[in-house]
Amino acid sequence: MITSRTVTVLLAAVGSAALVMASAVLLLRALLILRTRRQARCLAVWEPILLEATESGPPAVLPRLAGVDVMTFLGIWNHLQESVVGTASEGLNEVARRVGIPASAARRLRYGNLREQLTAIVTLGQLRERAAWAVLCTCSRVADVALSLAAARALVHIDPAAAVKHLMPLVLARADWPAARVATLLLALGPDLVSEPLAAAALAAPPDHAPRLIRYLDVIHAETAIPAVRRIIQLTDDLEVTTACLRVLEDPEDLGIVRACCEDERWPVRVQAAAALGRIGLPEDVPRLRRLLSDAEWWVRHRAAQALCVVLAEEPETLDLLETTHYNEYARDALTHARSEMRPH
Amino acid sequence: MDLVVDTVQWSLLLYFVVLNAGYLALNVLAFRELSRCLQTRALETLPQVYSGLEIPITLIVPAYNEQSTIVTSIQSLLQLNYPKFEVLVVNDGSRDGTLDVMRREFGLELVPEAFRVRVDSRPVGGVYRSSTHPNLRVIDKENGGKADALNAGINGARFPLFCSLDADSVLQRDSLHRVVLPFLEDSRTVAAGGIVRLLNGCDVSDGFLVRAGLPRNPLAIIQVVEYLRAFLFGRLGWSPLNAVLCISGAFGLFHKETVIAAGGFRTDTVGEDMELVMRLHRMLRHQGRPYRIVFVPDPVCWTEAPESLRVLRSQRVRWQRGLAESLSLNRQLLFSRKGGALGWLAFPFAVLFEFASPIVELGGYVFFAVGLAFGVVSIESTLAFLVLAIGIGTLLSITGLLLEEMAFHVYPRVTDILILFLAVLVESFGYRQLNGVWRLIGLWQWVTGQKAVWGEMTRTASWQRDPVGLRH
Repeated sequence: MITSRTVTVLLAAVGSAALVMASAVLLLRALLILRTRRQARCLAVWEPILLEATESGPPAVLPRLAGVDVMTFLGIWNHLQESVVGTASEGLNEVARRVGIPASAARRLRYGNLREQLTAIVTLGQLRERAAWAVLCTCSRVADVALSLAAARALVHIDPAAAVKHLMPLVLARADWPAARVATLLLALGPDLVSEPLAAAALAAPPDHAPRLIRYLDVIHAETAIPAVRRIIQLTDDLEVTTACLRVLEDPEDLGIVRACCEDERWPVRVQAAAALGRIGLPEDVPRLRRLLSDAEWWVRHRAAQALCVVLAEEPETLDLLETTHYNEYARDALTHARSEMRPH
Repeated sequence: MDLVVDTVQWSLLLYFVVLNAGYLALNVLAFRELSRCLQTRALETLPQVYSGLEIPITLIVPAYNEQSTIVTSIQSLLQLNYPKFEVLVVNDGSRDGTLDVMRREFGLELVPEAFRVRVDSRPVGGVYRSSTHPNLRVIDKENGGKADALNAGINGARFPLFCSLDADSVLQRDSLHRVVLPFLEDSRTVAAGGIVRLLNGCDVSDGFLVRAGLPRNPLAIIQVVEYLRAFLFGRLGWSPLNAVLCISGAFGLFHKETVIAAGGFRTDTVGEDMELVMRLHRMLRHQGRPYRIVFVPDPVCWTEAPESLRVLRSQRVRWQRGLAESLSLNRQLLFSRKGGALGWLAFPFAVLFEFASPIVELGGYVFFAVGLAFGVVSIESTLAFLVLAIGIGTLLSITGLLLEEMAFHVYPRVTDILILFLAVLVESFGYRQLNGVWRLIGLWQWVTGQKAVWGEMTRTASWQRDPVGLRH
């Protein structure tokens, strides 16, 4: 039985909750306004100083940086760090040290919320803060992907050679690290430092990990790792590993392997083999590519057509003949399509 | 008779308690999801270095009679910040000069493309590429509707991910970068949607948002509140449970091969975006394949809301019909053995509290009004019903405002907040009920199998006035 008391209680509850939340909205807005003004004041002071530091070094006298302004300061400081190199970066680092950022960042890394921790990690990396090495190593092993990757990147900034030793096992083990982010890490380290350990890891990796590592080798243009890739493709029968290896092969020495893969019963392998012939193929591969041009799989035909356009680039009349006389209609379409793509705009 | 009245009465009251509790729970889940993403923003605002392993994306833009806006739309899309993407416009049999305008502005040339049909669509007349922009192509085809145009776009897409867009969607320069993140972070991801915000009242320059603002049109302001409550946090709340039922057709990113395996977009429904997402869930759960369909808690797309009752009515009738069609076509998900949170929570929630809510809510008003008139229900019960139906609904709208203020605070002025509070009241007293009538009409059309029409969205495009003067 619903009584008027029940209704009154309901109404009062809903009304009170609405009032509390409405007040919370207005309070948040008021705090936002105050925060925005404070940030604007902080930026008005520090942005010119930081820009000057990137150009001609920091001024002799620096204003005091209040604790409440540290995150705003680090926002603009890190942004500038990502945009400059060399002495400009050193200028920014000097400003940061003089206003006590290393200690502030270390504190935030230890006690701050996720945003503060991430900012602190990036900052310590930019500062090349050796003292933070141990704690960053620990952070690079935590489960949280954002934290661990940020810490990995910071380690790379501080000491690339030492970072390789620490990070390679993580690169292998952390399948949850997005490949694109790992690739930027490896690019930052450079092929000289990572090729060998990456190649060795790819050789030893199980089939579900190897394709990822081989892709990294491709991204960092690790020519020194090609022997490892050749060995892998000869030892494996795994589809993903084979196609990953084929993507990387660019040396005419590898023609034998590539040609063999053209006959593979799995179409993704034939696709990559055709693409590889487009990179390293010779005129004697034309009959092979013609066969692939009439493959049942669209992608094989498309890559074979593209490869033919490259291999027969100096023989347009041969391509004309193929385009008009090939017995397979789909093959003719693929070649017409590929030739139109190759024509300059 | 008393028993019947009591049962109906208590059922109605219980319905609204459960409905509002459900939305409140979604808001809490949404906020938890949001909090973490806001924290990691510290890194995302830094200049990005691209590695070459970012997944290339095809932006599919269906266009029908868009000659006045298509050039600006394409120009802004071509300026997006992303390492590798293509813009694929599908001219869906436009009867105006859409194709001619694109030909002229982008130097389109017909190419003999070996077009691969993997999803059915109306015949394609030709494929054009731009002589000025290598990553722009246009497919010209027979008219078949938006879903059909998307299917043709899927056939022509070159990259593993495709993004379905409306021609008048306004993106942010980093929209692709944000919406692709779930795919980079988790290879199981097959679809991702971003938050769609209302463009009315905003300033746009060169096809990009430069300043967010509240609309001037009262109807549009009310829709801002509605979007915050129902579409923004309502949908975001399902994401951590892998139970997102709809990704907006205005902006959604999909794994192409998975969509092809599911059969592409259905062309016999007006809710093709929602239906596809439900079908993806059904297919992948049936296959036992691990997957994720997620929401990116960032405003990545802005679109215009109707500013007239006529157009709004048409939209809401269509949406409800689309919902009914999608739920019906994928009803196997309901309490399915492999359904998980989707089959046991999200789908039943959609059936009970989105599909059925106009019937229950309007039925409730009628029941209590008639009951009160005939003295079979008490004034206290009626007031309790109104408090639950309207009062808590109002509370939820304010919760939406609170979450918006905590997370995004898109609307810069204090007066905007006050106007939104007013809109909350108006939304609850009048607009919601009118919306309920339209949704009921949508259900009726579905039940009676009336032919669905998209109708014409009258775009005022008031946001397209360039603040520094006309550009063309």
